[in-house]
Amino acid sequence: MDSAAGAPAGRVILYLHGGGYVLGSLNTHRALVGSLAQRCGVAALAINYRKAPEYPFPAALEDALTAYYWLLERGHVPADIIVAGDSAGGGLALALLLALRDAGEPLPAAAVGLSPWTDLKLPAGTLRSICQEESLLLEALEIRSWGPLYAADTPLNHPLISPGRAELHGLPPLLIQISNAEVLGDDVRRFADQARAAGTPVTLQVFDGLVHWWHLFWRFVPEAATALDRVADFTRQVWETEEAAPAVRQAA
Amino acid sequence: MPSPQHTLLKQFLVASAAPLARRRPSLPTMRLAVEMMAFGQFMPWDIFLEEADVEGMAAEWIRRPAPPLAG
Repeated sequence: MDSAAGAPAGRVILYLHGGGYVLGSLNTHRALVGSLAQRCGVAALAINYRKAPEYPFPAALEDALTAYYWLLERGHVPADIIVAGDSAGGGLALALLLALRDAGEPLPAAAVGLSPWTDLKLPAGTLRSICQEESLLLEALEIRSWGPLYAADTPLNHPLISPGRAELHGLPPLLIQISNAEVLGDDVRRFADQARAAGTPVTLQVFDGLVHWWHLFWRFVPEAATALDRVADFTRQVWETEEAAPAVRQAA
Repeated sequence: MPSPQHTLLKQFLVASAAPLARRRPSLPTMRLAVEMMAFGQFMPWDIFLEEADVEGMAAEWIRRPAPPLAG
């Protein structure tokens, strides 16, 4: 047992909540993370990373790194950790991988991005006609201002702010879920294509006609429950592969 | 084809857009609204929380209870 936290020292999901880097907390995502932990059959560590504009980049990324190293210090090996997040948290999970890779640090077993925000520039085509209704809501929330609030003095195309602008080689397996009718759909598909081209294993699951952040409504939207079940399938597959790998190496 | 539940959700979100655009809520107001929406959420059955302090950062372990020790 991990005496500090009371959780078993073993497989764990490090969860980074969404909210455009300016909103959200442990409260807002507790039930979603709980559902994920239940379906995956492992413990999840959710962190309340610092938000913009009070704490701009790289505060959130530093907090994600702190949590990852904290898990390592408590006996979790990288192969037992899967990093996950939704929306901005998904982008932050990808930025965490990039930061670890660039620092030559051991990488987690995999990462899961639920409608991850991969490009904070929100290119012109992003708020597009296919999701015009959702665009109205997001424009009303002034989502375009959130990226600059987080980036502050750093360019929005910095690879650790917009992972879609990064070199995507040398990353662990990624599961990306997106809807074909949400504002981030095009950016995420482009990200998945770039990651695959760079040799990173990517499982891209595209859902039909759903709004951004649909995962949050897992209790009454069946597509969200299905999506979380697929995350659980992915995590099991990743960890089964991890288990099999030493045996394969030994046999070889 | 999205489920009826999702269609209902989307209709609610779309209906929220115009009032939101009129009011132009501040960031603290939006934060408060999102926190209040969280009150309607319930943890899945058989999942427990435990607060954790990650180098001064608030965090939570969210997990199933550990099985009883043998013997």
